[in-house]
Amino acid sequence: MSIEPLSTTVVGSFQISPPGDVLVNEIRRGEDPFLQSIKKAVDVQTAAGIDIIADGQTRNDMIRLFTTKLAGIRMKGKPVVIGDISFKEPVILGDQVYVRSLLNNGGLVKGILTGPFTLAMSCVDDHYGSREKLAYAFAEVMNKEAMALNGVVDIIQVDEPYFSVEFPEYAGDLISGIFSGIDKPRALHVCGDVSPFFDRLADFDVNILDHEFAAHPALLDTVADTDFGQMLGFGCVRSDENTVETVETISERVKKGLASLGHERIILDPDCGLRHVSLEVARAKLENMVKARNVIRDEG
Amino acid sequence: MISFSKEQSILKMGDVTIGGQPGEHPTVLFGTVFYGKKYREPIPEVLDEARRFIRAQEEMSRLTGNPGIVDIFIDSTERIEPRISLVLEEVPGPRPISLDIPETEVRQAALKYAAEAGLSGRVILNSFNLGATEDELAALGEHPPGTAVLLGYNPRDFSADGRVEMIDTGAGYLEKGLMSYAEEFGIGNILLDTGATPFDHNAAETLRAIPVMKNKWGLPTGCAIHNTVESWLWMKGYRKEHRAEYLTCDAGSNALPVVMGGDFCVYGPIRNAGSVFPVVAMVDKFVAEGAEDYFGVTSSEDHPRRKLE
Repeated sequence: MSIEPLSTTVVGSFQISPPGDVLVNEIRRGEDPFLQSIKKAVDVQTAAGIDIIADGQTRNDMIRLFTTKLAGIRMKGKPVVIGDISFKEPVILGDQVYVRSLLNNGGLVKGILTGPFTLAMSCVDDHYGSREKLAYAFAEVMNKEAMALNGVVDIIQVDEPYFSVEFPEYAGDLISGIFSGIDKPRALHVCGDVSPFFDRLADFDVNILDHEFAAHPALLDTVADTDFGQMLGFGCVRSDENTVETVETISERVKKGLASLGHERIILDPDCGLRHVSLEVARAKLENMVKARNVIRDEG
Repeated sequence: MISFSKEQSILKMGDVTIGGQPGEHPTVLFGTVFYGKKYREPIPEVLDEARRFIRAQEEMSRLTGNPGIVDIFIDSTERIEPRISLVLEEVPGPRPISLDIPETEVRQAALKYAAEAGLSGRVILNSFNLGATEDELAALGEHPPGTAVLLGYNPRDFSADGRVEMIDTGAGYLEKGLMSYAEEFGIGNILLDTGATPFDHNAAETLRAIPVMKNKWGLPTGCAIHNTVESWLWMKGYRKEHRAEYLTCDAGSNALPVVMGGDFCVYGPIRNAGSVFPVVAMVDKFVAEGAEDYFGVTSSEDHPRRKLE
């Protein structure tokens, strides 16, 4: 499957949670209160005209979402690794099937996985004795999740925010490991300023590199000066500010990217997940991002 | 059998004593009345049946020594007064009443009603949980009940530690932990409900959380483990043709929290009192005998260990 240039997508998360009473009462009845929050996240995206839809990551934060479902980890405030990590069953597969069912008229679905390095950096390790070994273990089990998604979603994205904090020598191996055997387009999202190691990311075996160009506009200079073959997920909307950028502001950012990289290599999304802004603001940001894309397309 | 190194509080809720070390006091049983469609209209025959169920629980309580508390399900503000009034007509003396109210607006109204009726001291709020809004927190501060059950449901983390986190910190759903709020509001008696979750959603952690919480806070702890049986998908089909077998499982599930050191069970429909009380009395005897033999814990005089020879 090829990805249409200037497609729009999201990085992942939204500030959506079922009301507390709904959570308590539906859990008590053995029902899933989060299906309604996933539907809400999908509705926000489809109403805004987003092309590649995600489940909204409303069920849990990106760490607990997976660590609470893997063997070998005990939750004690933070996840504590107490034995060999192993995969029990798919964690987000059912949600992707549900998202697909909500997209009656088609539309693309993106499954989002937390990266092995970020998972390793977020755990207390009482077993492996080495961050590197732990990260490789996560890569292996998260690959099983990726394989489960492979037949269901259209794109698989791995989020590695911790690469901006520390970029390990073995980063490329981890990403190759989690994507091993995946034949769908593979995206890697790293937020923050990736300028210092973008040349390394350029060597990664992924189809899309996704970064924050709204918060870090100077990154465009680094990217433009780097030889890389991937498409670029061009973060063009701030995800850390609870204000809505105008269509003009967004289109100006995108035009700068296009001037450096050309239409064929760019897809558009917010800088990062929109969990930190209100849902109303998130909705408006996405609407303006799609309008900006349409303006640019119309201008040819 | 287990015993806790942490000192275990013994609370008085009216004429009901709860808590202490396993085997010390009988397990307290909460039976829920008015749950279901048939109670939506005040049909005299149905209300008479509810009264019979309440009396039957009272009789089982007298027989076994396990205190029975009526848990009143209330799903609208207009049902607060009539349902509480009916129960008060049947429940003797200072016995507490438990309020099981799924919606926050109704919980707020019930707290206000109880205060105005001079009942706050007898009320057990079942439960104070992550669904508490700002308005509910204000209502709790203004009209604190005599007892509150703090519910450990933590949708982000069903592990025992996740349930502890809900009570301890609010787990991101509330600004602070349920315990901090309860103490701030001056709620005299605090019970801890680990929050039963369905199978495949860390159901066993519901039980494991009992000793974890008792060890951390030393407060009476329990759960409504029958909810796990009720939400079991396979059982939902099986029970259609096998009602008696379902009830056996439902009643039997109440043995589990007692074995884990729990102090109370919210056992579901009060009409099941006849099958639940003997199960719990039997397990209480096992626990108390073991506690006495191994830890030197003496059971109270009203304990099934002494009462049912």
